[in-house]
Amino acid sequence: MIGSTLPEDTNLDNFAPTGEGQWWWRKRTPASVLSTAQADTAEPRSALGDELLPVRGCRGALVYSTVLQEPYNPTSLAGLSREWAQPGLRLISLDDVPAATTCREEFSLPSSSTAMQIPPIDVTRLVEVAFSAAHYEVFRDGEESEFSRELVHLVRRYGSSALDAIDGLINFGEVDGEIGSVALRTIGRVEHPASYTVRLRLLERALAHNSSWIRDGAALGLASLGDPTAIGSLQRAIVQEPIEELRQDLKAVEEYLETLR
Amino acid sequence: MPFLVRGIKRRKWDRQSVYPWLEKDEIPADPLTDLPTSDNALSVYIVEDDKSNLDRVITALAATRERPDKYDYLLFDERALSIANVKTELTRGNTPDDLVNSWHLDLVELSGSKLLALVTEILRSDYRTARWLESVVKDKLQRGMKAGHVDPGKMPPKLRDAVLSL
Repeated sequence: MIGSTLPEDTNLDNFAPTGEGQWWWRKRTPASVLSTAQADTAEPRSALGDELLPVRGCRGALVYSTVLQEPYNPTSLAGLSREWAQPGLRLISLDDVPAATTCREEFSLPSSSTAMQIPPIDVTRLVEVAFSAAHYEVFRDGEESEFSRELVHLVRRYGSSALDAIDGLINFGEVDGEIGSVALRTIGRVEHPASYTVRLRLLERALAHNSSWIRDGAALGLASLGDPTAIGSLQRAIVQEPIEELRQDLKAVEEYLETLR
Repeated sequence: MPFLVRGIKRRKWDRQSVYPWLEKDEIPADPLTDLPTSDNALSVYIVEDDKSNLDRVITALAATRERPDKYDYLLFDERALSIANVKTELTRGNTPDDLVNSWHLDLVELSGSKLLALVTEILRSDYRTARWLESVVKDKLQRGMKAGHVDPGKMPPKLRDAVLSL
């Protein structure tokens, strides 16, 4: 039942179809079935919102009803699973799962199985594509850009893997100054507690970049993060900053963070 | 002589950016790309000699954005217009502050060479750029709304809600 809460004694590692043409999954917070979707719905993400994950404890298998085989082809199924695919995730038809199997058990797939291996997600490539597409955008302060929306999605979805890739591009690679600045401002704004420390360190490192745009973006990102522990890094950057206007901007961020102590 | 103000991206106007490839009497291209025209016109706002209305103008401009963010602005002497031979038209602005809207000026009939001349003149003059951080923008918007200068009903909804929730 959509929106229903599972009984207390439900073994969440088990799962069963609620009927033909349906599949299910649960959000990061356990203990409730949040929704199901019809097999002919091509947008599970929009039906169920963000943070969809395969059911845990199933060794990277997402079981779907056999009805999903029609009219979908493997490409469509791979597309459907993109938002919640983990590297190595397999889509397995429910028909191939022996009855009464729990997620903790291994089972052999018959030769006729439609199991598909989802290729590992190349997060670095996704980040590179986002940065590349950003060259075609016009950025305006006070407006959300497609680039920043995509970065927020990548950070929330892939956490430190995405941030490592962003760090590599900005701090160790070649990146357009304004694009790098927008990326750093976005990193400071994104709400993702798990990656907080990684983001803080990335921003602090970028204060020493040779591009004034990126130093600026790093400071603005730190202002959004609102962490007074970054004051020391800002003070060092201020001393070394050759551009007077940017030095003023770094000082303004330092003064703002001082008010948060 | 009054000043004129407009929103910009501050990094494009840094005086101390050194371009070794720039030839004598040339200007960098970035400032030009930061003044996009529409129908060969450019929108600016008039600021008093003593800059007493500057805060109110910037607040009103910041109130036109979709969401709270820093606001960078350029302030330059009105004299640059006459030196560059730029024509002006007094037209009403489009901010949520009605009084600020009466201080709006359109720079019109801008040819490529007039725009170049204007930017060149600005860069040669004692222009000033400044920034309000997002925290300052939010504070100024809140004060502007409380003072009855900024009409919340004319603000973009997301921005309005973000300021009201402070």
